[in-house]
Amino acid sequence: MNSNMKILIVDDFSTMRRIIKNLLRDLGFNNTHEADDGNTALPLLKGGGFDFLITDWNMPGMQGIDLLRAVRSDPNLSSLPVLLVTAEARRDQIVLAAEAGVNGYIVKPFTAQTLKEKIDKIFERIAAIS
Amino acid sequence: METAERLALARQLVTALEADNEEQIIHFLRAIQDVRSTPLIRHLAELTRDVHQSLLGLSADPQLVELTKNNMPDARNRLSYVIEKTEDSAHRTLAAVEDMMPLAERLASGASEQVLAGDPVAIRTYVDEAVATGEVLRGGLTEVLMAQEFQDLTGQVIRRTIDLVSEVEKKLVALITSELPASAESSRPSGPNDVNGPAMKSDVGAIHHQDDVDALLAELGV
Repeated sequence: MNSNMKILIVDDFSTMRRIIKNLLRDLGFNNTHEADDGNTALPLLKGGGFDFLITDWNMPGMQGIDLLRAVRSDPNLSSLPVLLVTAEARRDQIVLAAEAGVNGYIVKPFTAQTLKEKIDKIFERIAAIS
Repeated sequence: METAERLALARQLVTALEADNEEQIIHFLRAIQDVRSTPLIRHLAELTRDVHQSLLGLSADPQLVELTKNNMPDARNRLSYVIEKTEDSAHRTLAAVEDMMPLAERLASGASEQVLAGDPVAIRTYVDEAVATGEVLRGGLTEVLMAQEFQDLTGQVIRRTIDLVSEVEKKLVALITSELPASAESSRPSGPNDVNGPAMKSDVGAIHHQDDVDALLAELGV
């Protein structure tokens, strides 16, 4: 896993963005960027260069699930790994996210260990495929 | 009633008073009183009817029934969750600070005279200790960091509660102004696209542990 990979963190709560950003820094990832909902995230992603997207689900404006769908339907972004970190925990929602092509799903509240495990797993899988 | 009519009544009352005619006095006093009270009584009757109709409308409004029967108790649960989360966060933060404080103290004042005098063995011991302490401090700071996640979760819950209070306020205003909206979009079943915020212990259909999320995802091939 490239520790210099460019990561976009999308959450409407700045406290949660800071927590994730600090956890990522602790894991050795320093190249992180932030957006507060899907509408601000999508242009950044289309601007290019992002290797990983970590997004919340429930946000005003464009929600995380719609951002995920937009990413998957954009030929330039379709293979971008996406991790949902959300308080939404209904079974049908998790199924919906899986169908939309999510790579990982973390339910808040979560631990630093969980975040590390999920990121490791996502990139192990990608490495195994390519 | 015309001014001329009122004036006539008043004059008739004065005449009756001057004549000390008890029957007439009472008759004209009542007539004058009626001038004031007839519109008042009519107005009261109208108000009573409006309130009655509004109350009938309220009990027939499924959205309001939903608000009182389900949403209010639900909001109470969620606000208790806010107290729980913020309390938990405060305790986690305080515990981490209490654990780290003596370590930081020792690091700050732990350099003995031998270390300051440049004794290599003492310096070695001090550095080893400092490295180990640094690791523990880093763990403690991560704990403080993670303890701040409550703000996102409680923020979502409070937002929902504010929405609910506004909804109730709207209904009450409608009641006062007797313009109860025809029960528009009432409770609809929630689909996967609807957002709930953090799952409460009582939420049916919610998954409460990351392990269960992982199991479901594995089933789905993610």
